[in-house]
Amino acid sequence: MAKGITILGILVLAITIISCNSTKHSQSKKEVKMELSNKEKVVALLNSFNTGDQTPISYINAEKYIQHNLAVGDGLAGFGEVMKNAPEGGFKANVVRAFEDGNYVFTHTEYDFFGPKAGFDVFRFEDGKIVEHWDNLIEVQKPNPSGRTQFDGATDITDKEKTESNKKVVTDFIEKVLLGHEMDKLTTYINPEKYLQHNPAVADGLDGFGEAMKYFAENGLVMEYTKLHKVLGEGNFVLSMSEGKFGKGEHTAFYDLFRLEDGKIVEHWDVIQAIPPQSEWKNTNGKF
Amino acid sequence: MENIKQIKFQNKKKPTAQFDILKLENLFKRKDLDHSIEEFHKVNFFAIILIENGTGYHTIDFTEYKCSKGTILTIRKDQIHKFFRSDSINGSLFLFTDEFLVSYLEKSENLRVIQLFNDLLSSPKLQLYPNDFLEIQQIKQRIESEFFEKNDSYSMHIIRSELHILTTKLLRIKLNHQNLDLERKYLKEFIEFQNLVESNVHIYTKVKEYANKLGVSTKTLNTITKEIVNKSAKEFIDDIAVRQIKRLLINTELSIKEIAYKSGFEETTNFYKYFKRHTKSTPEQFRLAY
Repeated sequence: MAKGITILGILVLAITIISCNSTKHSQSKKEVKMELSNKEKVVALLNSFNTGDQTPISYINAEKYIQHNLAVGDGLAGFGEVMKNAPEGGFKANVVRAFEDGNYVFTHTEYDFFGPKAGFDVFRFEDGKIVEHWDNLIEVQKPNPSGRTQFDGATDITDKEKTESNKKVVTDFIEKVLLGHEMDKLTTYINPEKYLQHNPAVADGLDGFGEAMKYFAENGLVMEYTKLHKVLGEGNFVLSMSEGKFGKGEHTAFYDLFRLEDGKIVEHWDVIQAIPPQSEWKNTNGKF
Repeated sequence: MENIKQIKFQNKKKPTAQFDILKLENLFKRKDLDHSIEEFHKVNFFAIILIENGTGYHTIDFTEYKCSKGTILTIRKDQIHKFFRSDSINGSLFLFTDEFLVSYLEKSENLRVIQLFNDLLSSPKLQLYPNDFLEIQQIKQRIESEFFEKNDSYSMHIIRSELHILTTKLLRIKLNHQNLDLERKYLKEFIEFQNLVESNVHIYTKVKEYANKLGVSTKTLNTITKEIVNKSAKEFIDDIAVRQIKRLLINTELSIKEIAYKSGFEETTNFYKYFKRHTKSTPEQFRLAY
């Protein structure tokens, strides 16, 4: 009957907690954790676009909120301004993926933000509050030549003990291959047998990658990475934020999300957005 | 809050019922619960979670599973799991001990039902197609109606049968998704081997020892594991051993030395080597990462 007692014990514990008493007498051996995790806060904040719930706004530090979306004013006031100017029906957000790395949380979200958009957001926390935000947004496009969308694909997070080694693989890939043009090293980082592509214009595999590069070269277009700014990861997922030139040479921000298996990249999503000229910036914090 | 009271009442009234339902939306209703449900805990019963709306995560063992409408999660005894708190999630959590369902089934049927929860055979996560989702949702509604509304002396018997239907249907969907068949060759032997390893891996680690216990050759044991999980018998034993070590690292406060000893390593240095070889990380790094 020991099992019966256990099941009852856990249920009663759960129920006591739900009934919202402070349960200071709780028998829990571990320290009682009141706070939501940073990731839970970010997901709640983005979900509040749909519900209008005001509570998650309190997860942003009212005194210090450094905004890197250059179309938005600095501070909580800037955020409030955007929300105030929301079109009828408001903005919508569906968080497809959410990750936590130290003081950072990063998300991959399907937005309705002045039209359907795909976005990566990065939030930095200090003392449990959001103090800094970066993002990159692009219009939602049709599925790519391999039938993949900007959102579908793997979502489960695992291999957390490999976070640092996976971040290293992505850092090396960007530094050696994209910045250093050591194309012969490509298969050191990308699995040649399995590379699932979610960029709306490119097909799966290294062939898809090669074809895209060829198309760019033949049409006098560029895709050039000039600086790697940040690499964040949780387990098998790694996000990189880079700066460069794209298309006809426009100043561009590249956000790339990679999934790794056994130390190699097997899946890729990206958001590529032009960086507006400084004269148009609504804040002075810069894109990165 | 009506349902919660009923759950409490239910449990007081029938402390031996061995079955319970929790609504996820009630679990997450409060924003700042002081809580242990999101902390990792080891469950001593079987759990089925059905997500009906919203998105979030649920951690089982070492993976954070993304949940959305139509996600089914199956958690068995010994697995550790953790809730992700999100207001937007709606769904139900069914809990039952093996005594509730399994002891009432005949042995071969029991063996089938349990396979729904066998994480070495298939993933704990199942994403239902819309038509399957509707069917499962109907069973869920019937169970909840018995549990929360009717709740008379017939209810537990009816719930038991509904749960049997639920688990069998879910098993069918899961195995169809993965092209697995319960009647397939070697599956019975595989499960027997798995059970033996799970309860003895801290004592016996050699394929030969298990082959002897099962009265088969090591070659046959290799054929069995190759056929079902595409691993050698030795790889399969190591896989289970490493999982159990990982659970101890995440779920207990035991020192590395104690975990090494509990896992059958007399020398801690050997334990380090073994863990590093299979996970590419040290036990400390692993513990820290979760």
